[in-house]
Amino acid sequence: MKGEKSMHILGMPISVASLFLITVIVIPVISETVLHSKWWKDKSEYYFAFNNADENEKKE
Amino acid sequence: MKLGIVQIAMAVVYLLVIVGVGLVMSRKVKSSDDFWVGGRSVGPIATAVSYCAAYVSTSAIIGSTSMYYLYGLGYAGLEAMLSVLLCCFAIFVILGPKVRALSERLNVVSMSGFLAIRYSSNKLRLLCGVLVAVMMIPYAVAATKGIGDTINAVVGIPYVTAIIILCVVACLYLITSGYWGVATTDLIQGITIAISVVAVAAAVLAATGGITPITEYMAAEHPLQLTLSGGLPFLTIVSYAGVWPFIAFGQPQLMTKFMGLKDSRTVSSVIRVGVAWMIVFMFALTIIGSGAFYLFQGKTFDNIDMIVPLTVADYSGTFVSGLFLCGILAAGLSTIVALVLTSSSAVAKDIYEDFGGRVSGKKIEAGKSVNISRVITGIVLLIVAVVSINPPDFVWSLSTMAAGTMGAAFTAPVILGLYWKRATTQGCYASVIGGAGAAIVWYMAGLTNLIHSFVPGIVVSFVLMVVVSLMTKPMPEEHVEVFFEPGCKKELIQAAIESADK
Repeated sequence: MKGEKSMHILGMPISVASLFLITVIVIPVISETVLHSKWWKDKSEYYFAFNNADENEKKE
Repeated sequence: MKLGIVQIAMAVVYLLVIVGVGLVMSRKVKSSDDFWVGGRSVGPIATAVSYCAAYVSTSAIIGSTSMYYLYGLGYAGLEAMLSVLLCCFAIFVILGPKVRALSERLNVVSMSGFLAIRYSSNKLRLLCGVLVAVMMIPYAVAATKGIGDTINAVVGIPYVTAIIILCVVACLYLITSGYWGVATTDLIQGITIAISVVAVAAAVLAATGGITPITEYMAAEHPLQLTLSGGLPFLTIVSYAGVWPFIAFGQPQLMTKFMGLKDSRTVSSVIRVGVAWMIVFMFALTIIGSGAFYLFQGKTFDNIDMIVPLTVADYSGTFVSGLFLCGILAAGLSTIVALVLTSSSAVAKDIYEDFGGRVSGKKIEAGKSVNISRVITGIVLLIVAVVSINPPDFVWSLSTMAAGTMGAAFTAPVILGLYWKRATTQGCYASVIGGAGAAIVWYMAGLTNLIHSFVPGIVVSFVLMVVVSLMTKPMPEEHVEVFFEPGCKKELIQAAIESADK
């Protein structure tokens, strides 16, 4: 259509640029969100307890 | 391409540092556990960087960058996104904490050992051990050949001489210090790889004048380079860019990294460091590949493996090209030693010590176990060196098949063994044999042009695992409890370990 411009970032079409944006922004954000979540904290402690609890068993 | 005395001196100093560190770390090796998993006390940063260094090899720096040159920014972006998401985030979230916890509870140092206990079968230990030992060899040979070819192209040292130098260096720190040496030198290697590719990327950007000139050239002269597919069919993109991040889930040499961690709670730091490292690495390769396309004006190369060395030769200064050489050495060595250590672990620990020990009823003492481990590691390295000196022409496709076969064979049993209580011994056998068989048959039938052999292999593997498990009797509840409950009684843990004696 006359006058219409497609979106570009650093000369790349948005479809291609979005892959890099997802890599450098979205994935780290998802990563930090997961790592700060209660779910992850509970999971880490749960598996840490696998060996801690075994140690307590050995001491008894 | 010829490098001067400065670059060669940098490479020599680098190799001496690596060997020196490995020899120092050898003093920490007191037990078989120390040799195979660093006594399970490797810090998160060393683990993350070691993992990344083992995952990327010379083929990533040379091969992947060449692919970005050929197929453009869409392809590069897809591979970057999948590598960061799957190889550095998802794999550690899914496998990291539980593998670490269980490997300590069960005292296992390898994937084969874990599978044998989870599915109560000593013969499974032998099957997996043989598969790993056999498949790792072509993988290691291909990696060794790659670095030998690169050193020959970049420095002009004869291929055979380069192979011998590499294997001697690997031998010096691998045999003496095992995993401790690998984890520590991998930290140095991983940092070296990152610095070298960033330095080359910076030099390329300086030559191109930024990213915009590259993309403007592509838009004007080669618009396919700015498409998502780069002109490739969908299945080919899946095979090239999509499969490798998934294959990582079933690679024994990467699973060992989780087992060597200090404790499960450090996985968060591993993820952060791994994600950051991989982002930097993939972006640097993208800049190098696309920048080379602009600088060489999209020229067609007879040997695409020369794209990166020529870019470095023409557009980097003395110091940066020396750093690049160190980066190539680091990428190749870290992968070779990880593969050799995993292969020799399969033979020394899984087959000889664990399987053979259980069959004969004899336990091997700690000191003798470490020495046997060292001898077998040396033998495996010698085999890799000898085959690498005159490798078959099809070694690259063979190594791709090997990695895909292991990924297809082990991913389902490992993931479902960790998270599905209903997984059974028969399901595991069907999955390993069916998955590996499907991948090998697909390769032998010459169908890899259609799609990577890993894809049919993993589909067959998961389907067989689920179907056969559901058709067979569930494993005893008290055995399964060992893999899912914290605070398990030591008698149950011991019973689970002993169940793998039959």
